[in-house]
Amino acid sequence: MPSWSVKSKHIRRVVLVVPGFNQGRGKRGAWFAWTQKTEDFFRRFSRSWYTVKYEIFEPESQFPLSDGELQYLAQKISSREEAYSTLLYFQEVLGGMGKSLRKEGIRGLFLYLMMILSIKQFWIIILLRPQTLLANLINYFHLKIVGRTRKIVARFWQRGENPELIKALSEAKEVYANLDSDPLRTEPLCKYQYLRDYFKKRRREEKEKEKAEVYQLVEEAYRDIISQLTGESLLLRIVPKGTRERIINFFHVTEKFPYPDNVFAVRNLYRNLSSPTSISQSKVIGRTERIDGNNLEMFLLRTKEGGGIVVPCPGENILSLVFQAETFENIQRRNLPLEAVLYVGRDEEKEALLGFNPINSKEFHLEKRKETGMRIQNALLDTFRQQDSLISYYLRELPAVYGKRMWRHPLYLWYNLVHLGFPWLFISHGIPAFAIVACTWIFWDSLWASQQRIRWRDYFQNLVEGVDKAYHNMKLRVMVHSGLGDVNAAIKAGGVEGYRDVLEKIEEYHFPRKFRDMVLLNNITMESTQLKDFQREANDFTTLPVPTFCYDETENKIKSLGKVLE
Amino acid sequence: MINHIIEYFKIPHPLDKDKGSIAISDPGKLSEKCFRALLDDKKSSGPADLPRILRVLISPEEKANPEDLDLVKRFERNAEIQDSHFWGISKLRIFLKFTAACGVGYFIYWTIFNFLWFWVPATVVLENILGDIVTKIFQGVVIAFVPGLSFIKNFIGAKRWVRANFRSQYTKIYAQFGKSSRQYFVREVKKCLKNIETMAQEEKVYIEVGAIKNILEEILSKHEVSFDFAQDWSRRFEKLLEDLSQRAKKEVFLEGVVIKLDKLRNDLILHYLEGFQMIPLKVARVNSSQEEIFSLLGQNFDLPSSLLAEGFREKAKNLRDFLDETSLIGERIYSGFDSLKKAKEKKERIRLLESIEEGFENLRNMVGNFHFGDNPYIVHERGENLSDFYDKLYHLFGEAKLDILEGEKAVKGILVRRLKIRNERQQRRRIQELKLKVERLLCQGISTKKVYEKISHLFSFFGRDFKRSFVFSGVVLFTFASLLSSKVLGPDGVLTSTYLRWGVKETATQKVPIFSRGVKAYRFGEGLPIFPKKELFWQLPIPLVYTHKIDFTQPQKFTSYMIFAAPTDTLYKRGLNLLAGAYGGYYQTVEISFDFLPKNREAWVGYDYDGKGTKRLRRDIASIVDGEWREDLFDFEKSPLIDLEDEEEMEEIFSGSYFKRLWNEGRMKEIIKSQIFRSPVMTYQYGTYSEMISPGIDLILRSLEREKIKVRDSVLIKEEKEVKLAKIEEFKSQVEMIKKDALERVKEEYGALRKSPQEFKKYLSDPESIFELRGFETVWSVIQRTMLYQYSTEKLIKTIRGELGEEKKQELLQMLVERIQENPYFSSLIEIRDVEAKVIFMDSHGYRSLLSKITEEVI
Repeated sequence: MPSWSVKSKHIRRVVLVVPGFNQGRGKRGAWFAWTQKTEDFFRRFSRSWYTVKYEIFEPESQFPLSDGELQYLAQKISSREEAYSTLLYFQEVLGGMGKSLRKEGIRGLFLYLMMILSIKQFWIIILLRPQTLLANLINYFHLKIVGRTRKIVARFWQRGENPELIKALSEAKEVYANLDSDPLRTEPLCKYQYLRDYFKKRRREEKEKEKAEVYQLVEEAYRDIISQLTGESLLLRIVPKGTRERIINFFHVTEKFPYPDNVFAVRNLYRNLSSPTSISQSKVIGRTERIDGNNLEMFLLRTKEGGGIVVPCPGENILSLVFQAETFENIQRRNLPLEAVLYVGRDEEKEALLGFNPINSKEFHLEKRKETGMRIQNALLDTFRQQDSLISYYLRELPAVYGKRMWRHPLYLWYNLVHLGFPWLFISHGIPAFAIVACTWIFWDSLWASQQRIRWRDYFQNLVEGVDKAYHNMKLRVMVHSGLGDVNAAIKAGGVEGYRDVLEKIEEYHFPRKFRDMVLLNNITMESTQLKDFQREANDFTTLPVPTFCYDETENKIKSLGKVLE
Repeated sequence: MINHIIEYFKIPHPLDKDKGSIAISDPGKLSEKCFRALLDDKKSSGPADLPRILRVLISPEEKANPEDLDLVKRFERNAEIQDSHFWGISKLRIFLKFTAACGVGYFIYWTIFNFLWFWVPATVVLENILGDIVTKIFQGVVIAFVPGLSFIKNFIGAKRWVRANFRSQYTKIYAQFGKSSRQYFVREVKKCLKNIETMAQEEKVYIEVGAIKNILEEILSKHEVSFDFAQDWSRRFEKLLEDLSQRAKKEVFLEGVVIKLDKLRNDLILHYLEGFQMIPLKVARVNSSQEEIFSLLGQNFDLPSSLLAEGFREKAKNLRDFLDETSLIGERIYSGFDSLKKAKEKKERIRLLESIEEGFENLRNMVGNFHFGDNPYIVHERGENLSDFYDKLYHLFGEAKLDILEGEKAVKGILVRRLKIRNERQQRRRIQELKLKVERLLCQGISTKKVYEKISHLFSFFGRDFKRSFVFSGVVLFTFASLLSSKVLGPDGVLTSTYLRWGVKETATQKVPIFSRGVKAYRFGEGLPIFPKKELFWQLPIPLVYTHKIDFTQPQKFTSYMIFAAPTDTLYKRGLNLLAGAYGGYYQTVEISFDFLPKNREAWVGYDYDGKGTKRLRRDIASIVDGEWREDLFDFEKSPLIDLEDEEEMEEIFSGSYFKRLWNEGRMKEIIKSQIFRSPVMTYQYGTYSEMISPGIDLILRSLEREKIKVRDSVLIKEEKEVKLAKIEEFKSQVEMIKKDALERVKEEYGALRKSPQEFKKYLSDPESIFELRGFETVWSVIQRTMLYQYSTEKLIKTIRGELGEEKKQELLQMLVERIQENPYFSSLIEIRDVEAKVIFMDSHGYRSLLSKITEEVI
């Protein structure tokens, strides 16, 4: 059934951009973007299909977030949730020694009942591990909620237009700026606490219900930011700490995966950009502002000489299991094309790169387009090769991985040891003990059990085919990302402070790690004398199937996109 | 997005020059591709089903030829017929094998059903869980049938069946070749608009669906592809979307609508430009431009498509060159095949076959020099390779040559044997077979169809169409069941039928129902029946009609049981008893079976209308065998098993060899212990004195009371009454005295016995000291009685086993038969012809399953 003919409901998701000072790796100095918690948002879903709008609100500023930045943010929010649901799905179908321990536990309990009834021996429970009934249970419930991402027909983002909310955010921005001069509140956490209390007070004082709701949203945002800072990191939440948790973990067998964070990083809006922000929303809602599960993001990086390099950055989400499985699953399972979003720094670049509209053919130059297209495609192919080889590697190593998981099971030896007692069971209880065997014959699904390895293999096979399809079936979208323009300008300007400046900006504007690596490789290294000594190694690195760019073998150097564009 | 490409090559008919050009492709690969395409379709659940498959005819010509499309159609049509034929046959084969497997499954079911080691525990388990509600049939289904079924499911039937049904689904794709996608869009657009309308109503937003509908219908009804129209239409639609987007700023609901309409627009434009073909067909010629192959190419840059188009053109050129280069070989094959048809001798045939084979071998090898291979950008697909096609032809002719040369051929058929190809006729048939195989490969229609080929397509609906498959399976099952539900009746036979009718529970009738009429088999041409007295009856199968045949000439049988606890006398038994705990214990069961003939036919037909007559008899006989007869046997004063006057025997029981045996087996201990211990298991055979006597005394007292009332109510004279009453009263007081005395004595003696445990232990450990127990009068008498009981049980078992002579056994059984004949209920219904008795030894599980058998409820 095509997605346009299903009956669907429309639902809104609020995203707030609030001032702050992010301190994580690769985002130091960035601001915060807050959205409703995953669990709260999806709990509102019923059985039907949905179209979702991400409504993004930001305070008034000289350089508001550009389309590209908003796209990047929205994509990040949705991809983190998709990755989470993929992870849980993986855990559900293949996790726990490659089989559903929970189902096994349910069966075990049934068999236990049989045993109690036939030979009236309760201790036999140690043979059955009915506690596995609880294995993965929490993750299962989480999946029930996050799995609703599959019920979304279409997603898109939009700039929020609620003036009250924007006013509230601007207020927060001003308050935050004033706090900078407050010697009592130099710690960022104190600032957030102050802001939270401030908006709490505002909410209580406010008589109008709508305004109160607005203040409540901001208050909630700061509350979540504080809890993110004071609470535990994802890693700490996963790893068991106390004895109690250790014991539970031992019996649950599977790891637990808490819901993903709902606080993200965005550009610091106080920064003065070198080039003006361009805001050009499409006339038709959600056409260029789509958020897709089957997507790949690319950045057009400018070299010092002014040439352009396309840097594809496949998701590096901590929750994506191995390699952005959800993207390729979407491509393979749902037969969707790969949505490639190319971020460029300036409007002119976008115009040069053209919109791929088959109907308005007069707007662009065919020859130019052809070459640009091929170059972008080349860059993508390199990324795919990397993904392909990674997945193939996993596929090849699968039997070993499978075996290891089996071995890792805490009850591995105990389980076998305990079964040595079985003959005694038959001797002491005579024929009724065979009743259990009979029940096993009837209720045990041996076929399912025998297909574990096949399921693993199928999963990877699916991904490999998804990558294969993505090779030749993609759609390109070009978006202007002001932060990128600023970084590109900084690279071009160079100078003494250039190195630090660019890196700082990359952190503050929160770019993906791969982008930062490429910046380092292609621009800064030229300046650094130390790295010149290791040029050969650097060259090796660039020739590896790392995300790359056009490479002209005859000239033995990287060819930029510059000539095509200008 | 194109996932699959099906390539056809336009070549001259390889064997017959007159037939002109044909379009060919490798049929095997075609089906493989269709299957993959089907899988893709199944997975997709997003945008409209865009044309993911592309059909391309590679033509060596320069000019466009309108007949090209017909050639492709012809090939596809025949490929479809052949495929559905193939699947029909293989499904039928699997179906038949499955039926055979059901037989094997039934055998397993039967075996398990009859194996006690499995059957008994499983029954016990079910009884434990479900108690008495489990019937035998239910047990049979759950315990035995499930493994049987799982055998069929996992090993023989279902896997192949499911796979065949799954794989054969790709034949659906053939129907889409050349089909218009317009209908699909009309349907889905209608649904889409309806959803929008209802949602708008719910949201109370006005939306003019009419305008959207009009513009959509406009493109759907446009038949010729025009780029200008597409541009114009698209612009107008864009305007509409922009308007809606503007409105959506206030009416948020419209945002979802815009998103969907935008997607719809993209799909529509794509399909429109492809002429609304589900699976478009392109013709690639030597000089066709890229735009001719992909019309969109002129307007939009699409690297994969342009490369593909380039590749097709290249292939067309190669095909032309290849055909030019090999035209001589082709000619040679033509003439060779012509003369092969007329050839008469083995030698000549072989020569011709060899030359044709060589020709195809050359063609196959030369194709390799031209590029007909992979298509760029298409995942997991190899291009259709002409060499595969020529290789198959080469193989077919070579095979025929070898068969005729060696004079024999390996045949894989129903019976595996080697066919001889010796004489002229056989050789001619081999050539015919070759021609048929070549025709199948070429997919251009088959000249001579075999019989099964004419009907095979009838079975191809299996698996594809769920309803029809279900109905067909039902019909087959019903037919089988109907075949099995006929019965032959002699003159002394009666058929009773029970009908299943909704609302009516069951009705018994002897009347011949609509469907069942006696049929006699007559010798052909004569008026005499073959079996003059037999008639054949047919009924609808179970569960519609349940029939039961009663033959009054054959004796029937029913059984009855008496159960006794068996001594744990051997070391082995004791060991097992120790391990099995509560499940230990052994039993001896006297099984008595009666052969009988019904006395009154009509009464018996009414009694046995549902075939449960013998079970009813078993139910009722229990009170006689286990009740009256048992009393007879164990009333020691009158018992035929024991003579209390016989001093020698008594001596043996109480102090002689029997006593020693009891002591050695530990039974004596049990008996003594039972006097102070009460175990629920023991009360049946052991008990204390008071337990033994008080019911008897109470019975006497109660009957005296009754007697008193009788006397009081009688019509006697007052004095007489008083005398009688006084007598009764006196007697009653005497009895009461006795009871009181006895009970007091019992209390005293038992108290004394319990009070001195050391003494009691001595009785248990020393057989000599047992005589000291004589001092406890009541206790001793109980012990004596129990010993007598044990002794007579043992004697009964021995007698039944025939260890004491056949006469004694018959005497006992005769006594039983007389008792039964005295009973008016039995004597009116049956006439016992023969009685058989035997003793069965069983452990507690056997005992329990026996219990569940004999306590079955029959009404």
